[in-house]
Amino acid sequence: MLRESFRLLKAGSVLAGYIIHTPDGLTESEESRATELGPPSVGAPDSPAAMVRNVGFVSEVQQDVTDRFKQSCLSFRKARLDLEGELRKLEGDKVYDEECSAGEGRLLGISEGLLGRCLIVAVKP
Amino acid sequence: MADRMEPQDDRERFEAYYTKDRTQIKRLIQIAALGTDLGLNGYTTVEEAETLVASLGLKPDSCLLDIGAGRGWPGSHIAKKSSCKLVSTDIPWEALTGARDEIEESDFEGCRQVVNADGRALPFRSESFDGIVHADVF
Repeated sequence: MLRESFRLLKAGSVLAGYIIHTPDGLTESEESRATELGPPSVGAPDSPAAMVRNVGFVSEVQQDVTDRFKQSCLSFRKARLDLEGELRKLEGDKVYDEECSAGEGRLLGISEGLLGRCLIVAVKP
Repeated sequence: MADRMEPQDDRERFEAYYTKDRTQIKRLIQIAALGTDLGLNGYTTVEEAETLVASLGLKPDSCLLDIGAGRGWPGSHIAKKSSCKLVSTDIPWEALTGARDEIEESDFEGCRQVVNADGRALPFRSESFDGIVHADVF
């Protein structure tokens, strides 16, 4: 998708967005655990900045927003607990429990230092 | 409650994620968690969307591509603030119909398109866009 983004942008234009990622320097087992705890997009071999540079972008900004990501995850967890009765009726028990488990996984990944989120702003030269 | 099928791959999983039932459920959760129903979908807060507006620096004659747009957030917000054209693209059609509905219900005037396509092979000419936004898809 990054290569497609590079192809589609005019020269001098910006690719900007947020990426959930694993930090540099994880062991193979930590990467594996991060992939289990995080969303499916997690698990790229390079850092977000390296990924965009590798396809030709110039990485202008990389800003860590993991704290805010954690706060959002906590808010969503609380909302799911507060709305449990209604959500169980709408989603069914299986989906409700799976979604709660996925949310707990993300929070665990963040607290263990295996998951982060950052802003990347990159320019196509 | 009827049993729901387990997704077999990414496409099925995404399509299950964006059914009308789940969209309504996610609105409930969003209002409870964030106190708003701005059509937020995912983890990008309003403040973070404003940062994207500033970072992209788009003008009214610009064309923005939102890859993995889901129901349209934050691309729709950026396009509205920048008064630029927007092309939203994603795999699950349910998500894009949600994005299309949000566009039609909004008070924004301007060119908006939704395209059902995979971000790894998009049906656009090279160097077509003045900006690309993404949120938690790479």
